[in-house]
Amino acid sequence: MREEREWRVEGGQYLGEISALCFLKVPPHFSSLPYLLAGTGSQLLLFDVDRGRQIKSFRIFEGVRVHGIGAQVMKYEGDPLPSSVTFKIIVSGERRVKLYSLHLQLRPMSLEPSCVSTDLILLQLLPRFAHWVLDIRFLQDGLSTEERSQYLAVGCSDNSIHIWDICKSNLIFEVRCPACLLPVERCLLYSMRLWGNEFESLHIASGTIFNEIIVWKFACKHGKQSSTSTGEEPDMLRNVGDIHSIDGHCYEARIVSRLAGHQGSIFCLSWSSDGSKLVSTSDDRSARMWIADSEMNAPDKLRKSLGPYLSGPMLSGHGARVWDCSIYDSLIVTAGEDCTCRVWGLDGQALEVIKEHSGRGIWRCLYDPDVSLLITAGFDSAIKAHRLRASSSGFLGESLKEVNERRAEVFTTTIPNLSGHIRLMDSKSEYVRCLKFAREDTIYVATNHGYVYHARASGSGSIEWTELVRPSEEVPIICMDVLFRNLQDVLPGIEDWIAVGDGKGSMKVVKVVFTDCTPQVAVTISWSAEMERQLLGAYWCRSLGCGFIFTSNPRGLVKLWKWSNPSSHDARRESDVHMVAEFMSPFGARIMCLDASCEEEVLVCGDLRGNLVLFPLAKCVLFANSPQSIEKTPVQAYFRGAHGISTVSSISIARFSSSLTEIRSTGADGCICYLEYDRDQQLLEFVGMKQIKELSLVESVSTDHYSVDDSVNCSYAVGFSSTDFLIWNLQSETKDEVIYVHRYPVLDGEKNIFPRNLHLQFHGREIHCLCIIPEIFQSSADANPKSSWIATGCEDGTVRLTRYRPGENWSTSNLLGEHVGGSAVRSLCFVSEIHSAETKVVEASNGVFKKNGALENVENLCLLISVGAKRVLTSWLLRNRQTIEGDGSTDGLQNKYGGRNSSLKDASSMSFKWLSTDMPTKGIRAPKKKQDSENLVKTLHKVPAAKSVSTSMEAEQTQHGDAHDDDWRYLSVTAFLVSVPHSRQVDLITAIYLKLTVCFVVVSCSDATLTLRALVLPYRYWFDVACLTPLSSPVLALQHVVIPLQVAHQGEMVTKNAFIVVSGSTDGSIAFWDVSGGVDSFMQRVSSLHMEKFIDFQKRPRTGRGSQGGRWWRSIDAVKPRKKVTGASVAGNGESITSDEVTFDHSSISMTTKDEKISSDATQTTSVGSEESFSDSPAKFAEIKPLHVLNSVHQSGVNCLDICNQNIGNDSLYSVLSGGDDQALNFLQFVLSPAPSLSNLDTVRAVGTIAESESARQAILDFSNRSYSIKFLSQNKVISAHSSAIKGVWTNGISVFSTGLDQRVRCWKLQEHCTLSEHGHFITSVPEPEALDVRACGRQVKRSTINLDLWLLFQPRKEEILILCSFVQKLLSSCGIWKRNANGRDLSIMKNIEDPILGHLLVVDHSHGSIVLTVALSDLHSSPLSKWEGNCCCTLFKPYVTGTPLELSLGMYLVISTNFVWFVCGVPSVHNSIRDATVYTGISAEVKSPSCGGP
Amino acid sequence: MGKASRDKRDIYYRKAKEEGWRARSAFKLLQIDEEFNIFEGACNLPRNTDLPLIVAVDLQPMAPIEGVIQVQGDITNARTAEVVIRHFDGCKAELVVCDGAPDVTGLHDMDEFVQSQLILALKIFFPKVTFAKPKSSRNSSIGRWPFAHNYFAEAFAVCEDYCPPAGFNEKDLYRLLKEVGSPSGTDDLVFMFYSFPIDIDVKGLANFLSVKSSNSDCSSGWLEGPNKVYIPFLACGDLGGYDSDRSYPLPQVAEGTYKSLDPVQPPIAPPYKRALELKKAASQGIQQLEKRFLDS
Repeated sequence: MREEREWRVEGGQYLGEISALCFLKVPPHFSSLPYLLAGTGSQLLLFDVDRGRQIKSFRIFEGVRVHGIGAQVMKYEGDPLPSSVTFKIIVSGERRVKLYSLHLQLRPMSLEPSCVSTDLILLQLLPRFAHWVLDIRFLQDGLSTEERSQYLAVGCSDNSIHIWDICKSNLIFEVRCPACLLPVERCLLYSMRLWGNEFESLHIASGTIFNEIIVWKFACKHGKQSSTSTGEEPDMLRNVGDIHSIDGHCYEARIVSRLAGHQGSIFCLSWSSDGSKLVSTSDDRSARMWIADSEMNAPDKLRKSLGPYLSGPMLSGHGARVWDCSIYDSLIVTAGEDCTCRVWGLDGQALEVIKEHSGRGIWRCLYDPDVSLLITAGFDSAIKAHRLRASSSGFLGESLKEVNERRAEVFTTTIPNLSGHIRLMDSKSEYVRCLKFAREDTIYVATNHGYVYHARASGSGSIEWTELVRPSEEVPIICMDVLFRNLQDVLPGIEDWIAVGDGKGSMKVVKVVFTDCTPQVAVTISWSAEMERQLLGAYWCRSLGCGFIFTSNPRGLVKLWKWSNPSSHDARRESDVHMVAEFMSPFGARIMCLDASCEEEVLVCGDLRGNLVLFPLAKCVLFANSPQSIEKTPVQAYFRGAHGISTVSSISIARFSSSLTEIRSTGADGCICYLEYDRDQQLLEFVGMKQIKELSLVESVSTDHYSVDDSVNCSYAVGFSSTDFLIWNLQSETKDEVIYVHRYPVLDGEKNIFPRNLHLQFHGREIHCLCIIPEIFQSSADANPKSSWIATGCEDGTVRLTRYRPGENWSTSNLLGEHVGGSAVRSLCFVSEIHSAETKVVEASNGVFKKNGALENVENLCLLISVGAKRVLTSWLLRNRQTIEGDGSTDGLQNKYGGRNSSLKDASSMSFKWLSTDMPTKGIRAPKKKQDSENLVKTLHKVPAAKSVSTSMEAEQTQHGDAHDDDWRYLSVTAFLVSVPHSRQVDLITAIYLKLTVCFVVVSCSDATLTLRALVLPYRYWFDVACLTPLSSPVLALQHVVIPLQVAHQGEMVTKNAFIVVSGSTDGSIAFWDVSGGVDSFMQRVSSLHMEKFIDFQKRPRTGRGSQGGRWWRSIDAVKPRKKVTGASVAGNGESITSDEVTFDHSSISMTTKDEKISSDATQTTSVGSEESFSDSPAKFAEIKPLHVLNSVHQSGVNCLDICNQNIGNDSLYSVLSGGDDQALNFLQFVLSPAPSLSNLDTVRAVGTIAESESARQAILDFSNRSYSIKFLSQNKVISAHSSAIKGVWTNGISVFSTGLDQRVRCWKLQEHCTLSEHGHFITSVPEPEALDVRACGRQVKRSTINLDLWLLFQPRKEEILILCSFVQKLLSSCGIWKRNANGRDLSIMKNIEDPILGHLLVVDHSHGSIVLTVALSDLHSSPLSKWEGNCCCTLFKPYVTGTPLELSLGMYLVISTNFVWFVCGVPSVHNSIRDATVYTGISAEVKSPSCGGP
Repeated sequence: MGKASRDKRDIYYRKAKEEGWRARSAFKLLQIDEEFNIFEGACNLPRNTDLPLIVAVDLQPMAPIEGVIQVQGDITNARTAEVVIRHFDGCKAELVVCDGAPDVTGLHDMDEFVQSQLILALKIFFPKVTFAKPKSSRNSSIGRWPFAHNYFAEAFAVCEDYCPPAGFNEKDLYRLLKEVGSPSGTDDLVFMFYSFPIDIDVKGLANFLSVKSSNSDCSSGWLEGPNKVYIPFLACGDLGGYDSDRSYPLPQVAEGTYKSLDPVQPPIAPPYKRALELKKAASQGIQQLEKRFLDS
């Protein structure tokens, strides 16, 4: 082979659990806080905690994960402010220990002190230890006095200590704990901790799996040189080095104490700095403290059960296993599996509970008492830094309550003229009715007697009250709103506008100005706004200013009031106030909140019932000079039940683009909802939702702009949870502060906000699936085109989108959303290419198609489909968000998906908006199948949709018990988009023509069904199209191919797509299905329907409290037209097809599926669509039988599948790779040719017969259809490809990548005769990879060197880690296309193609009958070619080889260029020669089969 | 997640309770037995009694089973091994079933106490080593249970025809392994070798815990490259049997509601027992306090 390639694996960044932490104490001018070293995967990360950023990352191991880090500062002499500092770093992982020096140098030219250059140098690599290393400690001048840190003590899991001489770089000796010596009693440890800086003082605490802690040490043996044996403990001290050289003393290991008390294995130990205390954590969910008793230090008591240690307090409170602990002078910190980090006093009292991580637990906690800095790190990859508020000395003995009181000032006050009210309260008493904050120290209070007060907290803690409104009669104030304005130019700077509405229906607006901090009433306006008891709300709108105010009544009416010349100081005018507009909500429920935008001319109101209503707010109405006649403004758009049945609590509007308005609302269902309003089409669409589980009522959301770092632009939600008022950090998803009181003092000099997150927060549980989002869908403005986005789905039910840039850190991870009820996400699928379906053109009534902006969006349709537990199917729509620079208002909405970009400069952020969720409707019995012995085909029963609320409710009640029966889950998904090329739907409401696109989704369910479903866009409407039957086992892996075929249809040649689905099941079989019939007939049907008549646009994700309970919501659900379209109406006589076509033999040569018949029948039998026909027809699914089933491809389940395609003339060659639970890789090829001519068929058949060699176990099969034929060429298998189950596979037809539970990623090359040869492998840090995705992308080209970056992504089953690796391939051939001579051995240049744009070279490299043709692309990202990257930019195609050694057959090579498509065609020959080769140019679809007849 | 929910998802979990097995893993052994007849020799032995002698060893306390001698202890400990051997009274065991998954995770790569060298060792002592995967062992639905012990119990290594190398001495083990190409990590094997002297005769079965481990920082030459040790894979279990990945509907009961069964044997003395008691006591204490407050 002339394929000379050098492979270099460059490990990428690891994103996963943090497994080790260590502080680096740097000089104060470096940073006021210590630096932090964190171990993640096989990497070491260095953080500047003070500035909250990562300085650098280092790769330490290969495959081995970092388990422990130790650091020691080397001497820096004299200089109090050194410009550099050097540390010795020891890193351990599994059995490996490496010693480094870490040099930190302040950049000399930089004034910014945080600029540090780092240099990590490997000093020593210790020999592999026989057991896992549990702890390491530097020993200082204990054994020798020459230099500090001369020795390292390494503790291993067999309870042995190894002393390593750093200077001499050798192992001096190894000591085993006397209790654990072979063969008497062996010892397995899960934890060990060393204490002591000298050899003599070294104490070892070992935590055994037998719930016991053994403390042991070295004791000097006085009988010099009397060696080790004392009979009873032979071989106790094994001399590895020269023991006698150590101070001339002999040492023996002695057990100091055995500490029993825990009821589970010991997971972690920690010594206090003076060695007097020990803390242990255990499987029994507790931690214990052990205190040295100095009195009992006599040697004769050594073997007593507790020895010199007394059992201290037990720290009980963790709800699961406790993983880590550390003890300090005044406190103990523990962290565990329950995701809490707990701070305890030394007396065992719980001081604080920190719950800021998510997922499977906190692994590590670390505390620095000098600066009260607490670091926690967990499975979710986040590293959180906290400042414990109390000083370290003050913590001792303080209770939790005291700590809280220290953290906040408490003000208690009462309204002024309450004196004398000692009697019981009633409706007539004076009490506070409304309360509004104006500033951090100011509140406005309105009372039941009609008083309005201004209250200001002074620094001393007292409250100053000022009465603003004194009522003439005692009318209760019902509502109040405050508009506070900071006036930059006008003294005294601030003015407040207070609007109050009282029980008599009259409004009063008071302007308050301040002189010397004393509030004074400047203007008072009052008027009658409503009837008595009908005025319930008054709302300012900041964007409209103080000239307008809205009032609301109980029945959903909103009035907008305006007064002229609001700044005049005339008091008490009424005449100027007039009503400008009236808005009536169609829902008739009281409006609870609103926001208006003058620029957008829109008013959005949220009501008591969770509905959002949108009204037009024309500028001309607002600013008309003369009062006009008031008419009720009609509703422009609405969204019913945006917050379920719960009250909408706040609304804000922001501009998104020229035609889109973003609306964010919060509600009492604990959700933040995001909607988009398209002004052109007047559509209100739901685009996203975030449920904040900790808050039962989200009061409002704010964005925080004053944070210290770009990356920490927090936004917060505030709201109630029970009686607590919480501030919820939306970015780190943590509870920032529980507010029990009204004011928080900002500590002096505390510029940083804690807690803060140092490392990207990621999934906290197992990732089950991932896919790479090709970068062509990113904005072209992206400065770094190499960045890529990865979508991941996790066990915790979330889907995340994470950006990775090779060579850099993981920069962003956005939470896209959550599956319904947090049900696990099992499979993901990204769809972008739209296939056109050949259907009869349905002319719109007027026959004119208007070009519209909305159409463009449809063209760029990119969908992400995620499926998972409880049969939840969620679709997300890609949108490229172009941030409007300098528009602060959009910033607030930027965070809608829970994260944000690392920097604003890099504004190209990719995001998906929620599109639609589908899951089985509660109460409607799901299609269920009963298993017969042979025939699994069953009719599917569906309850006909109820037409009225009442019947629907009945149905729900009767079937409620059954609703819990179906706990099925979706296992796998694949999807493709089909559009009707010429037909456009007419949207009657908006009179806009929409292109109809259907996303067909094939999902496999755990009840062993495979269903073809359709999502009709833009209507978000789900249909069940067909059932793929019969199946005996659940399908674990799904893929599809779309094959364009030229077929004669009604006398013309049209391009028609064949849709082939490939499935792999748990019984090891691979099945092929042709779903073209179902797709075609559905497209026919859909394009003849007028969906817009009955489709409800308004859908929202079904999470959140409001959507899960409540009769009202359910009845809304029932009123909507049933969305399930049953198969019978779609595919007509599908049933008859399956029943008539019963017998076909798998072994027969050909089979006709009669898809033509299906479609024709469908069009005949189905009438014009109406609601009745959708809902009332007795439900029967169309059923699709498999084209072919390959049984027992794998012995056990088929875990993964990948398909790739090479074109050979009109034929398409497909390679199917599958990986199984049986550790085998299976390779299968089939050819699909359109409407084969007889000669061609004969040829291939002949070839097929030849190819039936030993390697091809399966007989070659040929299915002839009316439009195409499929030939299965060969099958080959690599048994034992991995040492454990294979979980992920990818191929591009040349290379194959696979990964499995054995922690390997293997690269295979496809060779002739369909064999796979292993090309290389590497070991990942990921413990149990579960999925893999690869993308190939080109990089810059140097002469005759091709760099291909293959990004490999795989992700584990147990931990959420992504690794990207890049391979650099070097091709050592020269330029040109080489032509093969007749003898088949020599090479010659056939054609040298140089494309000015691509700057590529083409190499045909031949030996042993294989031809490799390669293209180098200069800059894919700047060229329009980049859209090919999704498949493979490396057009390195193998010839289509049929299998026998003598045979070189038809070979077609495709090179993609900007201008041309190059075809190099070799003519097949049975006599091992290429007689001719021709180069064709053209577009692939138009190239006719070249002259490749027989020889 | 309630019991009923798990019943719905995991057919073997439900079946185990219905058929009176302590754990669903019983089906794994049954399915392996279908393929290898592992119990055949063990049950047809000429012994003094009709019942086969069964000795069970576990770190955790076990609920008693009739006819089974139970030893609580660490099998890697020589003393425990001696106790077990003593029970056999000089005879040799017919069958060794070993589930060596340590009951610890945390940073769960701690689970790698048993490494790939184990398989290699098995290869030395048994001419026939097969990876056997019972159909009941796989279940994609049950996510990982936080307290599950069988994280890695994906496949079993079934070893047949015990045949130690000629003149094998336990102390030669280190050298022996070196020859095969695994330079270190010998101590990992110890737990196997304590059990092997017991089982000298017929068959050995050890739960194989995920062949993973090494990398360039550790060595695993025998797992890679042309001289890779090949161990055949065999899926066990009836094709017509239940599929653990599949969801089966709950059986229809006359009263209309399915009632979930209790596990046959709940864990006795789990390590978190006391923690639960404390928690319960604490909440009771609060209730009592409240009660007293209300009474007064």
